[in-house]
Amino acid sequence: MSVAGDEAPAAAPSARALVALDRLVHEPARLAILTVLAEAEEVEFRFLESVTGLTKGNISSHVAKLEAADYVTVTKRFQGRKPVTSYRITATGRAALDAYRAALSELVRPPT
Amino acid sequence: MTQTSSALEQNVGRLSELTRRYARFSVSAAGLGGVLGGALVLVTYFVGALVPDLSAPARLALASAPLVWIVAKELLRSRYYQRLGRVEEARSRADRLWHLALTAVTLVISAAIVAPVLVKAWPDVWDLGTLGYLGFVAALPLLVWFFMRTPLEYIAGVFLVVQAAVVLAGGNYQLWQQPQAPIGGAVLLVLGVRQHLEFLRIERELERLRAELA
Repeated sequence: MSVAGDEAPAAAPSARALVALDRLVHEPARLAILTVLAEAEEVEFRFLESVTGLTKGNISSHVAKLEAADYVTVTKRFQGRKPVTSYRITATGRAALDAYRAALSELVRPPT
Repeated sequence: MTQTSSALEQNVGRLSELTRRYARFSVSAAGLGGVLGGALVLVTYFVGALVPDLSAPARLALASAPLVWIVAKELLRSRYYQRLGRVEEARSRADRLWHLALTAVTLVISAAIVAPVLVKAWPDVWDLGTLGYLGFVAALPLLVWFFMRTPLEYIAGVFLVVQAAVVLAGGNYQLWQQPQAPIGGAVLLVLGVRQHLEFLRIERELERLRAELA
């Protein structure tokens, strides 16, 4: 039989973890983009588009938010006449993703 | 939350794993490029060593092997294995240092060969044989840095380049002189086949993932 006062400490870490979740990373499309970028040195736009199923506009707007937070860097160059856009995750972005994963695993961990 | 967003969230682990496996084909996995490299090493090794009195066309064919391999390997990489978009593999610090060390050692050996040959032969260096020999040996460190990124590619590539230099200068290796080459070539060939099959699996898995996210 549980007492309300006993449940409060068990719920507290989860509540803290929920608050600690980085909203910028928590959005699924941005989480997917950061996850892909974290596995490579540099990723072309075409791959992100093809692997996430997101539209060009969606990718651009999410990446703009990540870039504004200094989570990714964007490089634009020309291959012949074709413009090529590539992305890299920054150290700040990687740290944010790691912190997000840690907070999430704390959140889903069953109370002891 | 849209359906795509929800599906993305559920598939973050697969995205991560598939990206890592796909990215290998930008640097450390050559697939069919490895098969071609291995086959060229085996063919040129035995032709160079066993065919007596190589003709001029045969020497030119042997000398062109490293260039054919490098061009084909890089075309396969960019046009076939990275056709969904280039994803540059994240290499470990140890990998980068190892590659740098191999290039540095090659540079020292290359300089130690080119300098005395140049000094000894000067000014009679303007014939095709000497120029070809010096050109290949001098270019070797650059070729290692840009195109031979794994130990097996290094073994196969260096053999193809030095053999090209030697046959242009009128010589050839004996069967016992470069025993690492056919071994490295055979391993590269088998590994290339395995990598290509792995790429086909990645492609199928990416297609399945895209269908689920659509």
